[in-house]
Amino acid sequence: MLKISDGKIGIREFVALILFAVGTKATDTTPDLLIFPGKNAAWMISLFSFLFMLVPILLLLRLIKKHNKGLTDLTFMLAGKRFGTFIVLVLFAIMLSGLLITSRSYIDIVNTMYYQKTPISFLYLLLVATSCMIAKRGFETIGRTAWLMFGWIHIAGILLVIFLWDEINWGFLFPIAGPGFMDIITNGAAYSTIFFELFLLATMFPFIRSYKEFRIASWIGFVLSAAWVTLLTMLYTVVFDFPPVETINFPYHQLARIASVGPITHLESIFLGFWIISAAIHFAIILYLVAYLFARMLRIDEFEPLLLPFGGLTLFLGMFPDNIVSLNFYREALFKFGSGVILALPLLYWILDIWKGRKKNNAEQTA
Amino acid sequence: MGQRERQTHTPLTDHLQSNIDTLQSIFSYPKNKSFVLRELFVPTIQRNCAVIYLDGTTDINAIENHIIEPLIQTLAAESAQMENPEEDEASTLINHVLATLRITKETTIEAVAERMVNGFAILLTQGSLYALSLEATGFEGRSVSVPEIEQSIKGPKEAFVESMAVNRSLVRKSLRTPHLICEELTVGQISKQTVSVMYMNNIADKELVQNIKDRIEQIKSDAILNISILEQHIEERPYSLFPTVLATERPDRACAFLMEGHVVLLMNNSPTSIVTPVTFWSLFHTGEDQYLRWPEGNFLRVLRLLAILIALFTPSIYVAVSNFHVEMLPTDLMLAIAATRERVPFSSILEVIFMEITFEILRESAVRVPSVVGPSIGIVGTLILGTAAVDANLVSPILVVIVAITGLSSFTIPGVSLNFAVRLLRFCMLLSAVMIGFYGIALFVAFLLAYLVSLKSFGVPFLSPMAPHQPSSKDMILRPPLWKQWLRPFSVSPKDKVRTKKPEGNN
Repeated sequence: MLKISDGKIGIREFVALILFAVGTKATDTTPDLLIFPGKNAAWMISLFSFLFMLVPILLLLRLIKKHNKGLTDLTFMLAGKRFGTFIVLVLFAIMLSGLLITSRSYIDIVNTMYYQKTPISFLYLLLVATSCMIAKRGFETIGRTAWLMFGWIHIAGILLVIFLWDEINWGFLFPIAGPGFMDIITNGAAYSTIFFELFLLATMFPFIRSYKEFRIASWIGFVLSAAWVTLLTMLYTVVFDFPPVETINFPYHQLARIASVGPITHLESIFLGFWIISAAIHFAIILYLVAYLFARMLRIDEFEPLLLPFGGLTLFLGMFPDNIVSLNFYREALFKFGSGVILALPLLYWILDIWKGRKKNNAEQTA
Repeated sequence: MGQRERQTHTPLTDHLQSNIDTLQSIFSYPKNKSFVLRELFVPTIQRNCAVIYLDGTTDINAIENHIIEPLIQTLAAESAQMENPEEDEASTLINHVLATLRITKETTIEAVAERMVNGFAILLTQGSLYALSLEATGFEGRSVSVPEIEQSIKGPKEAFVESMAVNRSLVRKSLRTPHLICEELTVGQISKQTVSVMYMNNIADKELVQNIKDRIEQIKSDAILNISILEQHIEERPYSLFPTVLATERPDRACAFLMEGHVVLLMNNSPTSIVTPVTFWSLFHTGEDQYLRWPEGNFLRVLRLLAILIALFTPSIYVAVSNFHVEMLPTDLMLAIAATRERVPFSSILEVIFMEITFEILRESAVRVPSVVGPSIGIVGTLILGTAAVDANLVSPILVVIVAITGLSSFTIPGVSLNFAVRLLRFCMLLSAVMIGFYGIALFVAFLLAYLVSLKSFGVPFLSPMAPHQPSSKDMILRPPLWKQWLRPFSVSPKDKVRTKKPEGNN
């Protein structure tokens, strides 16, 4: 009877996980990074990133199907023990620094926009502690919590658009290509890291009920989160116009400030609420992935006790950067490096797979 | 442990007087006036016998008419005609003389004593190595009356009473099917009580039933006096704010749960039954939701959800808005609140905590107060705490409104357990709001959701079939019309997942 609590998740939960791991980026400082090079066509950058990621994701799905293994197991199998460990180390390092930088930037947003007088360390502690507690309850719980909030987040997002409808001027989107298509396309490649978490969630393949569910969920999650990032970035442009949008640091929160319904003109606290809930789930996922990758790298079976130390580490290291400006600088560098890694890795795996296959065939033929 | 568990088995002897002496010493006879002994000569078998019972547990009329009278008045000659040489004395008595329905043979003193405390009369016979226990149970109890906690407008108005036999009959009356199984387990090491485990053997999952039975059998306690105590022994998370079993006093609800594959436990001395496993939805629903027509039932559901949210969040939102997010309020309202708070010397946080605690005290006193002085509570509550506290500038008027709507909303939450959970969570929520406004509330909600999702009741996730998603009739926040509820909730893994055939036509 306990079939339903076997620790595995299905399509719905996995889609929600991807949305919370990737889609949340539309509401943090990621659009800032996109708007800087993309100007008024920033929304197209994420669209092109999506297109660029299609091939790697296809390759990865194909490899996962062929070997029926998650990302890390696949890495060890194809790249061997030493090189595999190195690759996982790189992924882990990107993920951990991403966790540090992003979490700190979330706290900076909260601090600047809502709680100027509250110490950053206190805000940070609360967020990391909550994420730790959620992550500690296991992957299944994170997935189900994400699924529970899935509908509400969509309702909140749609409400935001409705409340802002009067402020929208579609003319702000033109000239359509912004700085020119070449710029957009190259930046699209450079910012493929937006989907880094989607890529890394493939590590969790063993926790999904079947390959079919994994594949369907990955595609739905991929398209959905790309749609949200693109739509929200577009919304920032059509509401604020370019260039003003470039000078706005936290467009989602500024949007929430503008949103109004009837006599209540300030709804940002409601949207802050939804945003904080998604942030807590977002970091729970990232924290879980970081701990899992670390454990896989060192081949430790028990990784849930690692969550608390990693939470503490995030808190400790996250306190170092001075402010959001330096964070954005780190973040941009990380994005560009990460993009290279996720665009190249599946290709590398694919080549390795063919090479190994040939070697095996040769060996069989000679034998 | 071992000493308590080890049960001694003293066999009965064939000497009548020595058996009587042993039993008398167990029940401390001359001191204990409940022990009743009636010695008689039974002509049918030409032996001396003794009828023993405990006063207060038996129905005296039944003993006189169905046991003693036939024993004395049936003549040997009558039974001699029917005599079967292969029969022993006991079988002769059972087959030709005794008129009680349930008769068992007991061979040990302990078994006899246990039978006696459960309302059986014991017939000891000279020269026989066993005793006959004859059912003559007659405990005093009240008759079936209307439900007092879970009232309904349209539904049946019978409630469980303190007698397990009556309660079982109330369930059987609604579910007339041979598939309804009633198993009996014994709990308690000193005072042994029977627990009835009821389930539908064609619907309830076998492992689930076994799991619950194991849990009951594992209880190590000297006495489980009633089902509320049993509930706390079998629940999974004793420290959790959320219950993992549901107590209901309505036989119709118990039957509805049985038909979904849940297990219902009944005990003597308990006017409630407990249903397990439960999900959040079973705590959230009432029987009325299904009895009323679709629009009416759903209206109540939405109202109830709203009430739960109001009861949970209003005080904390007030604190958050008035302390951290003042800009949220329309200017006029903000000024109005500020004007009323002008003369109040306390911070709004202190005010809220003060009023909330006062309200809880008021509520508890209304439950405990003898009903004769009950009305005075209303006067004290409304006049002194409402009007006078505002006049004395202890609290602002808006706060009275907030506490009143919170309190009122919390009364609509069905079931004692969920009610308490919401009331207690309200204070946790208040604490996070006091600490850091909406940021704290949101983080607490995120944690609460994760906690609720990971909570399980006998292996069934608390928020299923919503998260994790399971096929069901979607009877969660809203309910579909009855003819669309053709699926049983898969979360309790019913053997038979379908109530009726899938309705055809436009749905």
